Amino acid sequence: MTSFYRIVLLALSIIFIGIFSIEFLYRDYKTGIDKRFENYYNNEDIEVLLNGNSHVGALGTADNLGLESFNFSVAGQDIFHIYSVLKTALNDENNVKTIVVGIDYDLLGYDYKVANTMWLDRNYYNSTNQLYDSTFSNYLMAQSGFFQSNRDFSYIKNKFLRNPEQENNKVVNNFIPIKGLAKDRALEHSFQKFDTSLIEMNTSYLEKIIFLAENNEIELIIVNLPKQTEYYKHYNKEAVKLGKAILDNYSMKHEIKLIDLWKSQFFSDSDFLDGDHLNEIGANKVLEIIEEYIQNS
Amino acid sequence: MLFNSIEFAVFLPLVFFLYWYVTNRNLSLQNGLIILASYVFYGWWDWRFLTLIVFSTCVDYLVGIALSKSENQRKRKLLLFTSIAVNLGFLGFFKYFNFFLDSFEDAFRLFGQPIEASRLNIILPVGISFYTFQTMSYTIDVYKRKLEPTKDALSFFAFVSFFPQLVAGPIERASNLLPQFYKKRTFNSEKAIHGLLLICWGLFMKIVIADNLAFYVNTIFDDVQYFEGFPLIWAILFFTFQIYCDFAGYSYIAIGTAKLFNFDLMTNFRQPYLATSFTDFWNRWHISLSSWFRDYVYIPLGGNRKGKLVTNRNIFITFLLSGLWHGANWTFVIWGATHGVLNIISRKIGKTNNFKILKIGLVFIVTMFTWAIFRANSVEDLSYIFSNIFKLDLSSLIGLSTMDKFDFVKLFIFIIILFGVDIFVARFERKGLKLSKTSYVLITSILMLAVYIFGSFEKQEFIYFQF
Repeated sequence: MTSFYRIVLLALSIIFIGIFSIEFLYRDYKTGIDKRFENYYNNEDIEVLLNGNSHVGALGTADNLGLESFNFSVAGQDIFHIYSVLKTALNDENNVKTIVVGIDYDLLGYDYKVANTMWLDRNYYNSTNQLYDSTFSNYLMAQSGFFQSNRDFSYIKNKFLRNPEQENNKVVNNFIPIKGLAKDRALEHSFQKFDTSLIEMNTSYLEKIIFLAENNEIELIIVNLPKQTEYYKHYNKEAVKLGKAILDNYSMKHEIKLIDLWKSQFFSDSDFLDGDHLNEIGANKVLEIIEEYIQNS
Repeated sequence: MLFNSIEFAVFLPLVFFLYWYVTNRNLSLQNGLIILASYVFYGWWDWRFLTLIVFSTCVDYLVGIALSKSENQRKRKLLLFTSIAVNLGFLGFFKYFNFFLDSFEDAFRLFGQPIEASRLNIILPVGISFYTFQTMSYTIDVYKRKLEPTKDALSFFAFVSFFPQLVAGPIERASNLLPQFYKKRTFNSEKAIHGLLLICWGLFMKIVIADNLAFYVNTIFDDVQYFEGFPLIWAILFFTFQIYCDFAGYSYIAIGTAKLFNFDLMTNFRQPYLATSFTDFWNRWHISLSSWFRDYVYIPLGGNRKGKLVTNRNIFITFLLSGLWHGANWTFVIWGATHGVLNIISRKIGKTNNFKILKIGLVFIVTMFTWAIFRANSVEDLSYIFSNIFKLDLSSLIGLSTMDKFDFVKLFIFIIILFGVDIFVARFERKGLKLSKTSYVLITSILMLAVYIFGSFEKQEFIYFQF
């Protein structure tokens, strides 16, 4: 047995040295969410929080309209993580008066699991202390900088070959969406990544967002952003039916402002960067509508 | 309990410790611990289905004893029928009930007499196809007097439930595994070290290769109608390696785990993608199942003893049933039938040693396309795949917006590594070489570090669990 244990011990030593070396290199790693929170905490005057997926991310901020705002949006973000970010952001002292949450119809049947991007769940843990996948293995991985980075080796390259300060302080609010054709994106969002079995759970998180706003006496605006004509043509009609019914129901029940810009006449195809992301002109149109709501409230 | 889970990482050392330090002095204690550990291992998934295993084990144990006492041929047949009926009854109910119901409905609809039958919400017990086949082989062998029935209940219960191979094989024969439970095991350092290496290699195959390929494969096959051309080809190619690494990975972990307890399980995979014919492929792929079908279906049907036509019929029936064994879906039946035809053709061509590499390539490509039949979610999906696979468009070479080029290339690198290892192992074994202790340390460490760096940890079940 001694020779067996000797081999096990030697192998384990090599494995542990390897793992600790990797973790040592990634000890300072900051996720995009951590950087967003750092920026957010540095500005105490923020009154408007925007949060959602890349569609809301493309709006940028509403600063040019005279509103001190911060956009927390992350590409492909699901409702649980929108909620967990808002919960954390409103936890400490703050000056937030309005939350603008972007909910596409298909978002109600979506999560990081459907998108096969569960690793993103670990990106939030340092800041929000919450995990969507609460298994022990995910908890362990959430502690590791290497796993938070999704085992991204370019981080090491950038850390040693470029300015490390620069690497950790990239401006995080300059949102660059993944471009795609309207048809492909519509099919991807509303069919491939739309799972009706998730609706019940997602509406419960939507409810939590509503209660969060109510408990903090903050105005909540839910916005469903417009898309290009081609996108509408290929979008899942069942997702529209289900999503619209849920959003209308919650808006009525809790007296929440719902800005549903689905097939809105105010927007033309030239307001878009691609099939589903607004360009600057389109984004400004939406922000003006939001601002009008805020001013009138 | 999954082999690729934290629970198993705690469970295995604990059982290892108890086995070698607490129960090591007594054979009954050793077997008792194996039964207990196996039931915990299985019950971790759903303890209710333990009753099925216990019932099936009791039936086969008692039938075995009754067979040994009876010389009356009619009574012996009745006993054999009881065992087969119980085992196949469980399998038929849990695995095929709704499938046969659907097929009857479809058949009636086809003849203009639509019927509406109510379906049952049945959960398929993990590993039922594996342990029922294992226990059935025991009774059949006892019936044929090829095997002495055991009176040692503890050994028999341990043989049926032995946790390393309980849920996904290798499907062991009683003649190989059962006698190993009769003798007290002593620790074999060399075997345990080799077992450790097999476990690490199995984990590498599953977590690094199979589970990384699974992301691409599942995305395409689950919504196949949105893809055409290259993405379909890649998905089939990747599935070819995913299923190999998933299943062979499981078998290696099972064999390796058994070695830690000084048990030898049969080899289940022998570099299948280096096969030079389809007959050769089935001598290398899921060997424990193909030999089971050979011994208990093909040979009893007459094998190759009754002329070419009957031989071909027997081959076809055997593969058809093997296809159905894999799952309750017509795609599996078509897959089995295709392999049946390929094997018949393969036998006609015969064995030659010429053009070996060309033959390996040809067998690989055809096998790859048969995996598309196996993986397709329905016959409709299958027909879509084969009508759209050659609509090649270079602008959608990768086909998935969520996958970057590096991740895509990485998948090919994994496949090349796998091929390299398979070729290396084949040569290594042919020359009868042995690894040094330093090599064991280095290889296991490298494999485990590769799992840490490249493994996919989004818990994926083993594909063969569903069978």
